[in-house]
Amino acid sequence: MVRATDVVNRLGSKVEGRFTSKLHETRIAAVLGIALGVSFTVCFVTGLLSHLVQHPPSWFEWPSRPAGLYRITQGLHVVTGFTAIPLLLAKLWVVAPRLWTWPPARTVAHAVERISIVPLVAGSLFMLFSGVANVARWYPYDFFFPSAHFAVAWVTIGGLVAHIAAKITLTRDALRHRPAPDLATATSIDRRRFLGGVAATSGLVALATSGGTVGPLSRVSVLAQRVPSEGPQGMPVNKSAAAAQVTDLATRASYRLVVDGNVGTPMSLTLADLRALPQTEANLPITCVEGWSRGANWRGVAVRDLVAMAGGREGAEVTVESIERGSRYRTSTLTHDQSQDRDALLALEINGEPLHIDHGFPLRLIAPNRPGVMQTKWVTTVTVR
Amino acid sequence: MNDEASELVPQDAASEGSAMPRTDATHPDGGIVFWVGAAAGWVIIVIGIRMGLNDPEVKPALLLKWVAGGLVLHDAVWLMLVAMVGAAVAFALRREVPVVLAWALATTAVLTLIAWPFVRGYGRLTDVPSALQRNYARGLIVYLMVIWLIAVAVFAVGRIRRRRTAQKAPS
Repeated sequence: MVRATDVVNRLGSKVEGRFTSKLHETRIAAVLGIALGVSFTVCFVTGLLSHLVQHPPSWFEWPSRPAGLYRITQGLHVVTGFTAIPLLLAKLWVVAPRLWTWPPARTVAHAVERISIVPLVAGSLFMLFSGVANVARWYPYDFFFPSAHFAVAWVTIGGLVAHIAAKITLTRDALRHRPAPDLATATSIDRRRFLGGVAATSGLVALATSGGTVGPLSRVSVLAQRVPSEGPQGMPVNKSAAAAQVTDLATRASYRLVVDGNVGTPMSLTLADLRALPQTEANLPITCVEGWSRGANWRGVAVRDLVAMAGGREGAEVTVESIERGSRYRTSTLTHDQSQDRDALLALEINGEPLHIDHGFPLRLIAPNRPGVMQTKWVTTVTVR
Repeated sequence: MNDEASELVPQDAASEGSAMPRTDATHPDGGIVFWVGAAAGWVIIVIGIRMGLNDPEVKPALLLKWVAGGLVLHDAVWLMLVAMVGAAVAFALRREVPVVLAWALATTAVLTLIAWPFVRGYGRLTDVPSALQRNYARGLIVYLMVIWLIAVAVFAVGRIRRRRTAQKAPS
């Protein structure tokens, strides 16, 4: 009588035996694994930074300088994520035969290693899919993307840590030209061609997607979400006044900016009052978490000047609030370092023109080194802490 | 990915001197680095799972479906598709798929996959006209044309060189 386990054993061995390509070798897997490890670490660190900037715990303070640092970290996050897609697919193809390894686990350590691969691979696929979907502004699921992306990032990076621990010796040996005794190896030409091909595909993906943040590549970046110079007043918009339903409120003659909180003289300023105040100019980028960024010349009232005028404490924490209702990003807070920065402005103008309503007319926050979602538009209240 | 085809075509000779181990003899032996790393990794995994469970804006059951669904889609559909395409091309060419053409095929697949939500315009909103304003279908086609032009040119040059070398070789 044929036992079921024998059948499964034979089947597993037969399927595994079909993978005859020399490219399913340890050395190629090791090189791709290192590239992926670096890519995922970059994505995780830059993503973690972005999360901390937007939801700062008490121990974390994001500096206001260098002004373009967030532009670099978030640009790196998105471009690295895109370029990791060919790396991940190639790596999974190279190690695909191991999926059929039989028996599935021969020791406890082997079982732990294989189980740890599940969160790594499933997490990696979800992270890259949801990241691309976010850049495409496509949310085919009913959960909040940033929360899900952040939680699964931890699961993935945990899987990566466990996987590195399992494979570090094998990887080191493979890179020292010591293939496992039961592995036939690809020739160096085969290997170079394959890895060169994967690198070329990653390079093409970078070229096709990074123009949203790397200006000179804009023309060839055919898959970038934005043309950085296109939008009202030469600047893209992430949420229009119409989408935020603020057009009527923002254009009313009764508009006032209220400055209150921990101040000696609470103020209520009209648009004319704001224009009559000393103006400060700054060249700062809008940096979207979705990976595009664009610099502009802004002109308006420095936050620190406004706080001083109202009799607030120097270096006080400042919260700005938008006219917009029902948005999770309708308020944002400047820490004491950020509110003191000379370039933290409540801007009235962009590139020498009054703000377009989609850029936050009559007044918007623009400050160095912040995500776009924290550059609050249609500001109506400033609360000094 | 030039050898997918050969994987599906029975190759007795290749099977005997197979490129892959019949068993995974490279698993860890459970040294200290492995166990410390595995423990640290699982602590981080649990942190992530707890974040997902405790965040009211994450629907854990739905998120799990998407995460697990992606894994199944890759392993059961994508890998099979890659192998079948490789086999079909190898069958049509009556030989192993040339490296540069395999690269062009794989790159076409990857770029199309990435471009798909942009081409379809799933996230396009009429009230945010500066987002997703490119003609993504045209951009993708231009990229694919360049990729295939390069691939065919490299393939043709390689073939001419091989012929010349064969003609020069003493009979």
